[in-house]
Amino acid sequence: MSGRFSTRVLLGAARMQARLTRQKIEDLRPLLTMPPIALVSVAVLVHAGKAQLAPYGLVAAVLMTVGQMGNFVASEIVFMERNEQTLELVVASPASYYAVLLARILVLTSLGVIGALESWLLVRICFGLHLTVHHPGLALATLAATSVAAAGTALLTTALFALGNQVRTFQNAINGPLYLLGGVLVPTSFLPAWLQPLSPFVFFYWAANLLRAALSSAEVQGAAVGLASILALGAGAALLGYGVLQRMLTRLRRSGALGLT
Amino acid sequence: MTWWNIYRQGLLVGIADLRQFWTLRSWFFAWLVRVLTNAFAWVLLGRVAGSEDKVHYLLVGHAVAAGASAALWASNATTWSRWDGTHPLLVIAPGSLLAAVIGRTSVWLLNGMATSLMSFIVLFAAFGVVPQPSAALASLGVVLLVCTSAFGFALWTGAWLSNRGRFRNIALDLSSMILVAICGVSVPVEFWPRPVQWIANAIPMTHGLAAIRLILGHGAHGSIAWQIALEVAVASGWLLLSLLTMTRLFNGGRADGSIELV
Amino acid sequence: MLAIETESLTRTYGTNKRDQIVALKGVTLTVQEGEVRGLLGPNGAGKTTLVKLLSTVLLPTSGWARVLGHDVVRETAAVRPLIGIVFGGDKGLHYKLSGRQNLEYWAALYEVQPQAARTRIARLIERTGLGERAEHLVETYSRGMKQRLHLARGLVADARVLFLDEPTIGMDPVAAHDFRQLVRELRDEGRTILLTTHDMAEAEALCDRVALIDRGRLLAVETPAQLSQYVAKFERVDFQGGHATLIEQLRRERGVASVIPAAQGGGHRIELSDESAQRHILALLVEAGITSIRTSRPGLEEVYMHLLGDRGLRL
Repeated sequence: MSGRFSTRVLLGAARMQARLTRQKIEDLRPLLTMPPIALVSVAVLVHAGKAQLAPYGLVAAVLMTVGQMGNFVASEIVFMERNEQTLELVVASPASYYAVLLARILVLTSLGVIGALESWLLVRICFGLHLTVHHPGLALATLAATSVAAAGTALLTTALFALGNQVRTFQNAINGPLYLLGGVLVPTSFLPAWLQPLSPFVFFYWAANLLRAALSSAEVQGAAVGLASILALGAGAALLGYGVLQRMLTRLRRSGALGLT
Repeated sequence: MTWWNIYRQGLLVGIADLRQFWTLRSWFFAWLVRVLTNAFAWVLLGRVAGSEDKVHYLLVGHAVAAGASAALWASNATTWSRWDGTHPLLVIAPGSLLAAVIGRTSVWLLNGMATSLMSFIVLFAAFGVVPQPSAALASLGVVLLVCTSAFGFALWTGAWLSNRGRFRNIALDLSSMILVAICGVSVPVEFWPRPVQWIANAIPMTHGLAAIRLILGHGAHGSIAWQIALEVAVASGWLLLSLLTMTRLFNGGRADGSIELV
Repeated sequence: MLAIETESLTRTYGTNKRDQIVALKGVTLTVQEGEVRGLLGPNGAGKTTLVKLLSTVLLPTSGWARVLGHDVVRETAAVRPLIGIVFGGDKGLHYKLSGRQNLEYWAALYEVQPQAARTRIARLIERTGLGERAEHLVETYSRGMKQRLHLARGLVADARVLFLDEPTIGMDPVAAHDFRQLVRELRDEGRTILLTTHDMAEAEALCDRVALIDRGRLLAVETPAQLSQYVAKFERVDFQGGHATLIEQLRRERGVASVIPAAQGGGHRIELSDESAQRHILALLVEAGITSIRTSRPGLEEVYMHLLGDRGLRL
């Protein structure tokens, strides 16, 4: 794909997204609507007399917040740019559109990490449960890796969604299976046996296990492998996204549909 | 029958809206997949909690909630005439604005019912629950009531959102979350503090879901009838409130200029 | 050097031959560096398609095009830093950013050095008349202000070749006048400008040459004055008043091609076939007591109407 992938482009795009998000509260929708999942899931566990399993609920809320920032907000970027007819202008500029997207998406998925604090506070305030982060370094590293992997995945999905007319359809469809397969709310050992081999291919799987481990007082095993897996899966998605984006842009230039009107 | 004609035309617009989201195939393989995987996760949480009773509780709750949550999309649909630019034209047209709005949005009520029906079928089959036919049929009747109740609530929230369209998705998600949290879907209403219970008793699904649990659990007919009556009252209340609110806000938009807002 | 050159440039839409739309067919043209070239044509003529092909937004179906010697398909990376595009309209801007923030973003994408970007943006804000409104969100802008921001955005990279697609749409006459002055300044700076417009007065005022385009084909490329001569070589005489007998008499006079009702405002128009007849016709009108008389040469609008036909609202 032609286009300059420079620091100036990356910083300019990141800055633009940060400014845009400040003005668009809608972009922060997952930060408002996902952390309450912690309330519901912890309520189920507390009601069943299993308050010690509350970390499961917290982890679910955290990962879904990051996931939704990637899937719902970031994945809409190309679709919205086509709609607003800014995509044509970006494509006609010397900048690499991939670089522009990468920077903008990273800003959004990084913001998703705020959901961790929100969810933790909700559980604390509503249930009086103080969930100790026994391995804070691991928790932070996992959150960082997850937001990067979510960005990589969003790079792929935003390119895919842009080609379709029913972007909302697929946008809404993919998160459910990913969360289920990834064991975000319920560990994958509870899934049917035939589904379980698929789980390690979803970065949420590694992220959920590591976050639960970070909330456990037990010694952590396999952290390096887990973190590397998250990043590798995210990088893989990002590479795939590069190829899809290149093809998408060529196809749109050929069909004349860079703008939706 | 002008009101009916307008409603019908509105419904046609609503069907076109629906087609923007899904074909029949994508409704099954995208929308339903999303709904069912979400519900599966919650039901499996019952196994994490180590209780098959909990599994059954969550199963019924989320099968019903799937439909109610889907019907809540009507709140977004009430804002779409703003985005189309047709809202001012509808306000000043001589025909009934309410008929047009309800016509356009009622397709989401139908979507809610279809979603709930499929959720019941798939989830019950997946977890090996086989209700008696009469109980199943009666439950589906109450599901229709619950979806209508949610629809009325959605119209009311949509009326308030119609000139604050940027918050529509946030409001939809939060409404759905509130229903799932406090209306007896995941935990009994009594789990929550008293003020939360009061709210739960006044919003859709709480009584209808209680009725469905009683029906499936062969509860007393009197209790079932009482819960259904309460749900009817809730549904009627929200529908009436939504009609009054829409009338006041939409017509008032001509005075305060909000008629032109997107 | 040629700033723009195309050879048999064609763009079609649709793969099914039966439903195929030919947006541009076999367009061959050249634009010299430093020239202001107008592109005139009705809606759907292919003007915007041509601009999009040259600005690398679209790929051609056949033919080729070069901008400052670089092929727009094979050398897009070389073309893009050299061009600026002003598409205009309500879209193409980030509404939730201020005007200045929009410009800073685009400056970054064109890799303008931060210091240079700050200076240039300040100058553009002043030059396009945005002023203090540059700090406000674009969603609060009027149509005309958005147009000014479009123009500033197109200039932020200091491009050598500018594509202006209906740039004065939505501008009031004063703003449009200022814009034309700006275009003249840009030309004086040695930039090449390809300007699509419906505004005949604008085309006549600004363009060195005008290309007439219709249904994807290039019909003519001439100076505005030369194009006017396609329609009529001689002056016309417009007058108010007069009765049927006078009209009939005028029609029979030597040197009169036709006497037709005026398009607007009542009265009639005499089209002359012999320049020497003008004096005699004017004397006749005065003698008949007609006091409201005006002579004129055909403008670009008439060229447009004559060459493209009376299509009304049809596409």
